[in-house]
Amino acid sequence: MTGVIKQEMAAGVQGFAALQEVDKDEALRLLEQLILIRQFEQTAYLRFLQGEVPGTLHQYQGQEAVAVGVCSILRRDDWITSTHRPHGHALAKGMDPKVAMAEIYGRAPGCLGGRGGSMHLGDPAVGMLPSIAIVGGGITIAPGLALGLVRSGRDAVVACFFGDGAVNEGAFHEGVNMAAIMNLPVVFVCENNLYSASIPFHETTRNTNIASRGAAYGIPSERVDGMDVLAVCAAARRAVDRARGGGGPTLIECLTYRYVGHSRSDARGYRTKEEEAEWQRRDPTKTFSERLVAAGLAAQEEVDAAIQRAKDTVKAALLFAQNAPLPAPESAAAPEVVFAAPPIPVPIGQPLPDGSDDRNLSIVEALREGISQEMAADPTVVLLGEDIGVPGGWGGAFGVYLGLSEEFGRDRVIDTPISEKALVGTAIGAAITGLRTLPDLQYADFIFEAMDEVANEAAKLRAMSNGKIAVPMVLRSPVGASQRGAQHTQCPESLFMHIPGLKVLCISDAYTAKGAITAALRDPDPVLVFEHKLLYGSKRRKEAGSIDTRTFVPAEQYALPIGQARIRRKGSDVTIVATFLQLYAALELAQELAAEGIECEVIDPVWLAPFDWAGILAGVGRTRRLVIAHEAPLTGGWGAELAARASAELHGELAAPVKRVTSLDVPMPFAPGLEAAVLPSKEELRAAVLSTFSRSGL
Amino acid sequence: MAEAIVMPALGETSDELHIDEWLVAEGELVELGQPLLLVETDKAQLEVESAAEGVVLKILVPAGETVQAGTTIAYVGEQGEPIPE
Repeated sequence: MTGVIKQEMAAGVQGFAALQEVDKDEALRLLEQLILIRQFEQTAYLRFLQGEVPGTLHQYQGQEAVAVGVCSILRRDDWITSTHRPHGHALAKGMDPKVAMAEIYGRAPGCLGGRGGSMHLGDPAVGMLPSIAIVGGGITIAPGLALGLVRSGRDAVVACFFGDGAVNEGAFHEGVNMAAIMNLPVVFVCENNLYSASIPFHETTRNTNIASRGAAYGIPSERVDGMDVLAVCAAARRAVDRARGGGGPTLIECLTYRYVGHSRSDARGYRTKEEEAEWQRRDPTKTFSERLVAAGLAAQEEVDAAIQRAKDTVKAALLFAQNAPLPAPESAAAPEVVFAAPPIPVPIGQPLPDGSDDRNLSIVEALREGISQEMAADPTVVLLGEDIGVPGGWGGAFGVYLGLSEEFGRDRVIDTPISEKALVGTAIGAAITGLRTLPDLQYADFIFEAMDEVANEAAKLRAMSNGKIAVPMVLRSPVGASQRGAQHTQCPESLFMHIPGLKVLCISDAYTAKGAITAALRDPDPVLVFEHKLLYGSKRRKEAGSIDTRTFVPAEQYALPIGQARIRRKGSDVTIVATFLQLYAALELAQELAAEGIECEVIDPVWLAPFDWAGILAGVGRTRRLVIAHEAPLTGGWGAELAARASAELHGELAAPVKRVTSLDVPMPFAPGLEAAVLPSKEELRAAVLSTFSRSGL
Repeated sequence: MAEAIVMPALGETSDELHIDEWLVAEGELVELGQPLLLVETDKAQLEVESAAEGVVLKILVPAGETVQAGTTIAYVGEQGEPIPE
């Protein structure tokens, strides 16, 4: 043990909490839980060595008093988030050891049907999110779970477990600050086991007193002896009472020790036998059982009986897991596990409807109307973002939300700190516990700040939970070059069709804006919505190079089918599939080429995921010529995927090679002349279309 | 049924393990996690803990021999239980 930690423990830990605070039954129950976890872990470890358990294990021996102490204060309807080391948390929160062990064995009756495994134990029925194995990942989700619970009128709280390593993640800063500023019922429980994997914690930070960091966020915090279950219970009771009573979050640092390696391959060569022995002397199971007897609270026989009960429970759990059936391989890609609303075939959309001129709206107006009508219809819809609701403010970076906070209140149009990870994480958590959340990022480039939340959490939590939870979140952000250089410009939409579990919507017209945002808000799955700055038609912000996209939008609410592409112009000679500005370039070009005797069919895919492969490829099959145009760079753009599918499915039927017209593969430069040189042009599009009619195809 | 105890893969670079000593004799009771035998890997001498509890019914590989990880080295079960051939 390092001198630093010794010194801090002497100052910060009060020693064993008073035994008189618990009665015999509660004490024996705590003991049984401690032993249950220890025995479960030892059994899993030994069976792993026998070659029965796939993958690896991150185990909890030594830290049992933290999970047991905190969860003993929680109700079943309270939630916890956990980490890659979740076995103890799951058992303490009330998961049946049988289904926990079966999950570790990768068996069908496991709590996640074998989809999660050791690192993802969880079950909403016991109030446990599938554990998040990205260090710090749960810290941005926990405030959202709490927000959802509060808004649904429950007095439930969230306990968020994480290790010392996580406090050096940005997620810790953003998540704790978010919970603090929103005064949410979250108990942040840091299990400081002194090592971030193999690195001694004191080598990773100048301030090793994690509890002291509570002051940075203006929340109460304390450090407790994590080897003493009663000390943990007492601290957890103070924090849970505070949270349940509306007093907001607390940070608890539990000093503890993991007896085993970080994972099964870790031989612990970085710490000494003496240090390990020193902590083992303070073993939470041994010291607690001895004290119970010494204090006369329970007889030795009663203690022995509790220990035996725990061992018998684990024995039965092991037998259950060993004999449980394996999941059926044919269920691996079951659509309802990946999505709460799996994609269904929809007929391709026809050219935009006409209507009365006074209903010609811009995309901004159509989005606002769609969102506003859905907020009026569904009180669970909540907007989160930066600069979206403050009185006298912007109504979002491009004014989409102007007036909404006045109409629906700042409780539903929630301004957040500039914390994209926590903004999206909070939206995910709240979506899981009952809200329909609409987080807004000011520029699509900022999604990379929240990539863990989008790609690892929103996209995967449903599948990781074996279809037990849904994440009805709609994340909006604007794309496109508009003379702002490389970091307020990108069109990253293609990246997200590559991540299973996400739906991806690209809005290029006002009719689609209202109908598709309404559909997205009603959809139970995470939807990423991309809109182009130069197509918005925002009155508040006129951008150079903007295109007028005003078009007829019905006044009543309507929802367009998820996954529906739209034919914007019919033609028989060549198909152009395009989004955003390139869609308008294609429509102009089609007009021009019609005069030259070439009839272009112009299709807006609208949804990159689910993509209307059948509808679009059927159209290409008729024209036998395909040109794809998008502002995103060439390499790995959605056009590459469409070109590959077209060549696979229409090989031999195409009259010419597939052509793509895109931005160059370079970070977007600022100067207008440079920017224009990188962006695709209508001239390039014309050349590409004409090339499909030349004999050489060049 | 009697449970097969296999030699765990404890070596860092080699799958061969040398049995130095059995700490429990045939006929004796063993608890889950109780040290069962001492082995030498390519790096160190280690205890192998029992992955089952009951009576050590049969030791298949005596001390002094070297085996591959995954080899069945003993059976543990209830007194009198038959062991597979």
